[in-house]
Amino acid sequence: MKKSHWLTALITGVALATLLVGCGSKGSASSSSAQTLNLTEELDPTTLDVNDMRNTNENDILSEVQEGLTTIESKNGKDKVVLTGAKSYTKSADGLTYTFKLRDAKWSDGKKVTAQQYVDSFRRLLKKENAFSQATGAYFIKGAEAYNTGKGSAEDLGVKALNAKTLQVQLAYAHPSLLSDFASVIYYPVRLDKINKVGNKKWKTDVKDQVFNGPFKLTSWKKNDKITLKKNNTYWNAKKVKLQTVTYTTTNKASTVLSLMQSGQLDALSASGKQISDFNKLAKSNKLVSRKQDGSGTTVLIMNQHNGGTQGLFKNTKVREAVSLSINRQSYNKAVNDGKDQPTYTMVPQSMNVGSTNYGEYVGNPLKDLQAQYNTKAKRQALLKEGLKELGKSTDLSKLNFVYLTVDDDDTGTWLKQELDQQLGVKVTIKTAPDVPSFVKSRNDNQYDLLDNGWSGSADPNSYLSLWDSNNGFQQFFGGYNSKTFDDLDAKLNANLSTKERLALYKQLETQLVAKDFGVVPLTNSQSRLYINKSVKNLQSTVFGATFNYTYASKE
Amino acid sequence: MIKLIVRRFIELLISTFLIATATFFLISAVPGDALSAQTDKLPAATRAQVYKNTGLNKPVMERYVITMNNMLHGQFGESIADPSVTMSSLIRDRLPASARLGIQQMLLGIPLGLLLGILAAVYKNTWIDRAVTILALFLMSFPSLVLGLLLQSYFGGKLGWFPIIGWPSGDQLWWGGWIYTILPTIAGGIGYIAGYARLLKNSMVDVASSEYVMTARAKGLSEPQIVLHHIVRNAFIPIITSLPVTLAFGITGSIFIESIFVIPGIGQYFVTALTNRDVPIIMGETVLLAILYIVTMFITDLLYTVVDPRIKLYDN
Repeated sequence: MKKSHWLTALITGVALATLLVGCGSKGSASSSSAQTLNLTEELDPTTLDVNDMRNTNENDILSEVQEGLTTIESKNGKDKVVLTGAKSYTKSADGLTYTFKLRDAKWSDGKKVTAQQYVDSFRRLLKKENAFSQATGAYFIKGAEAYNTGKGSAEDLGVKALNAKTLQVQLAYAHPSLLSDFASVIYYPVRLDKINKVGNKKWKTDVKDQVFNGPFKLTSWKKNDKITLKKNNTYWNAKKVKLQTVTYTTTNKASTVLSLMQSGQLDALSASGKQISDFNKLAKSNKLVSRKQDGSGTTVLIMNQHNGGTQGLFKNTKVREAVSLSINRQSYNKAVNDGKDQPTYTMVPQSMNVGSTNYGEYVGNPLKDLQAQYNTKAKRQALLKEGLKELGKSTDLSKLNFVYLTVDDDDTGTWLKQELDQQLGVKVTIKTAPDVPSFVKSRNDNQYDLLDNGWSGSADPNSYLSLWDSNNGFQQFFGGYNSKTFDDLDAKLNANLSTKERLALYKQLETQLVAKDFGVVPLTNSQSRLYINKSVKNLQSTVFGATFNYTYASKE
Repeated sequence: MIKLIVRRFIELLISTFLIATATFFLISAVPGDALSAQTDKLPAATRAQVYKNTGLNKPVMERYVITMNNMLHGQFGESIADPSVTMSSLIRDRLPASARLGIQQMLLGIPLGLLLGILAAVYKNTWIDRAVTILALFLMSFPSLVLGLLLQSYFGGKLGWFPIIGWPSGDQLWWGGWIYTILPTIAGGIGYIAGYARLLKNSMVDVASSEYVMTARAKGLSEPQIVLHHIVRNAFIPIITSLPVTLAFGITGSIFIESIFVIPGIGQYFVTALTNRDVPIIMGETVLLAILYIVTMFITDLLYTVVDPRIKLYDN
């Protein structure tokens, strides 16, 4: 008897409780309009250490709670570099010395921002023992490479504080995108007094030890859960900052994000390809506005030129040419991104501007023109056979088997298999590694012919092109392209050239890479789809900055 | 009794040590390591420095000795992926959420399941029995992930009755913020209903055909008395055996539910640690599970004697 009553009572109790609680409080109402911006991120940042920045998540948050010499804003849909931490600058005639005058600015604990803190930051970034992943990006600074590889000293590093408010930077070679690069969080000033108190390890993740000189400060960080920012009243331009609170919720589940946006608990999002159709439907309901934003990424198809791949074929230019010309990037874009990104025929994003000239317009599309010439399967197969003959291999195409290595169950492989079968008549095998470490091992052991990869550079075409230098540290995952012609051309860019001379070189380099040597097959340039709550004003997005710039955004 | 406990404790230590050793060498044998993903895009010199900083460049045996030594002092080391995370910080910060969710799910699903099981057994071969069986089959084949997404999207997104994401924190961690816990509890708790319903039903049917039940009927006891005093109590033995283990695995987190509802639990961490080859966390997690499992097995054995006096724990 007792047991039955006990069970019944329990069940009734749970049911009642559910009803009461469920109907009692009305759930969470949509965020009050009190200047709070709610965002999401797919992954938690791994660090708050500006010099150690690795991914978008860190960049997004750090670029709003800290500040460096410059920031990238958006004007009329184009990137504009704005002086923020710096008030003004001068550049020497040979383009190798920049002198910055700092603005009067304070940290959140009241201390002043000084030139020495910038010097400390550069030294810390490049210190060999710190092994920060972005350090190589600073090699354009005099003495940087030597110091970072342990062959030089911190004193020989070309960064000096001439006085408390003047910073001098000396370059190893001309670097036209310097101002835009300095907007990256890795060059932001640091407070050694704070870091040395707790040590590098704790500094990475401990919120309470941090100080902030940006428009916001990070007040709470619940791992894999939620991050909260509050307006920083010591920011030099705090008057113009309207938002009081910004929150980031960590979730990578598309449907969770959709539910949040539906109920008004998420204000803005950069959607991935698969999410677009759902969000477009939501946008029609008139609560959201959507816009496109050109991105800084180029996705490419890589051919193994380290050892030519599993059958040694990709060492031959004609083989690579045949494969490259068989690729239809429009069909790739549709199959893999639901048409979200921009198909491209060049390594450098077409939207890149060099001075007042548009890169795409100037350089043109040599690969596209070539592809128009080889517009039938028969022509491409003939080309492939010529390559095979040059290698001394059989021209029986049915014997060929290209291995495409990937780590996920990804659409690229499926598309590639079909594409090369239809357009070239060659078989592709998809090899899926169970996880990233295994993938890395298989790739380093050259157990592939084809890979896909992407690269996000900075506002200088050479940040995309120098990747293909034979001695570039990233060769391992970009196929091992090796061309003396390319290397020599690229070396010329180190001189202090005029914009016109640079453009001419870029054109030669691009043509050499994609349309003469076929070292890589460019597929698409990233293009985000942004969905923003109608009540949010002045939420900016840029090509080379963070996902969103909400410093001067507000809510109605 | 004391002797038994001591003996079991020593067995626990030895088993844990063996399990930890096996885990360590198994992970080391798999290609790749904790840093390969992170350091992939770094130039060779930087990568070498990172490996040196974390000690991953040392040979396997040396790392084994270091790991075991630390473990014996109760330290599993910092997560390689995120050095601010250690096993103790995980247990302190994230285990409570998973534990509460797991316990709530069990409190919801198991009593319901047991009730349905009793009904199915008592009304065997009637429509009630068939309805319960079909319901059990349906619930078993409905993945908790899908149920969670549906609940979140409909009751959270469309109707707005419940929060879409979140979990109580601070002083509400254990006894407050009920509204956040409703949807995740239902999503995961439903899974227990089917299993326990069938388990109890089958067990009761077995017991119902035994001799002492026939005797009880012959003596003239009423049906409800027979069911409750004799059948259910004896049929509970298999339930008792599976409850502690369910508890052990229940409190260590349901990865999908935690990830959908953004619950700061421990389950998700364990899965990511595996794909990241995060050795310290994997070691810690394996040892934690091993200890939980062994302890619950012991409690199970003790509970046996309570439920069925005929069972004695042998001591040799």
